[in-house]
Amino acid sequence: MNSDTLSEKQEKLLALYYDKECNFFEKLQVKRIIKSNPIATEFLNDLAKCTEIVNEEVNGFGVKDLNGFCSSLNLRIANEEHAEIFHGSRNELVKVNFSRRINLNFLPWALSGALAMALIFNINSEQSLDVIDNGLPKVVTNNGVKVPSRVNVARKGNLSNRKLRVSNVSSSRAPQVEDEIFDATPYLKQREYLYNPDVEVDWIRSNGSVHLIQQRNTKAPLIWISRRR
Amino acid sequence: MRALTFVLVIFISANSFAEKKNIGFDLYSIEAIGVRQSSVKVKMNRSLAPFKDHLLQYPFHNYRIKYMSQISVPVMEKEKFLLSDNESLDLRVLYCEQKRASLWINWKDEAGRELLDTRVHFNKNEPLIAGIEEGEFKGKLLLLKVKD
Repeated sequence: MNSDTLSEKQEKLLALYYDKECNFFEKLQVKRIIKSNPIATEFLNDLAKCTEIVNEEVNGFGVKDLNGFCSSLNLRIANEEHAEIFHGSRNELVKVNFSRRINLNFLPWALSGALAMALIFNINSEQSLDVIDNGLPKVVTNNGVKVPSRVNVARKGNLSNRKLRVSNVSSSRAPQVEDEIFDATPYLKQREYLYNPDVEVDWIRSNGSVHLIQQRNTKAPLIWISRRR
Repeated sequence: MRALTFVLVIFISANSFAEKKNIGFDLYSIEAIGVRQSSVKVKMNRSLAPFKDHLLQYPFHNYRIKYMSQISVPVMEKEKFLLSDNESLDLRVLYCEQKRASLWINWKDEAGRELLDTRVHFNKNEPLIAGIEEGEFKGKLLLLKVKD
């Protein structure tokens, strides 16, 4: 290989490398060219200089063919809008930082608060063993004395194990309603489309009124467009 | 390293050159004339006889094939077809399974105006027919049937 010049293929490859559009194998090839040929480095430097000059021109509003530039911009916008109709609008992915989302500064306070609450409820629950004697609920305290309770609610265990039992149900009985059973078999066939949809339409667009023709015998998609009058 | 690169290259190239599944269709462009009265007999080309039940859903009494072709479309690739009267049809098969198929259809007239743009999922053994009113007693239909 002549080390004084670069072939057209090599120049193209280097340009791709400069634009960061090379794949893994092309990158390996470029690195090999740079090692073997000093002109390759010069070529890359020239590309960098060119980019700088172009950037200065564009940033300084020195675009010579402003009409062409604007029309290409408009074309790009129109293409994007057209694509939005089919694919929806393009949104940038937002990376959520886990540590920012959950403020960990409150963690020690939250833990200590939870510990304190747990301690308080454990102390309370020590006097909660329930004994029901002759229909009257009694609460056993820490020293083992049974105290009759007027509240018709039994407490047992800690907060999570407490269950409310309503002792007087008869006073709050709901009015009885007789149930009736209906036969839904005749309607099953009508709902077959839920399990076996024959024709599904994602969208229909036309310049007239669109009708989907329903059929008895066949289940083909039949579309009819009548002109707007 | 070289052996691994070689295997990778073979794998990638084999994937890229893998043959895509082609789906065959019968495509008809049909001219429909005359509004059908309740007792009038319907006249249609013999090739349209298998689709008689479907075509009778439309309100015409004479169906004539203007264009007929057997086409082949690769799955997930857009194919453009020229119909009669310089109309065009863009077609893309989204999938074609054992029983179901899905098509994206973009039907344009000779001036490039959109007549119909739709995406439909349907049973593969049924034809897809789209019709458009042309005049008071005239219409044109497009019939697509997946080949078995």
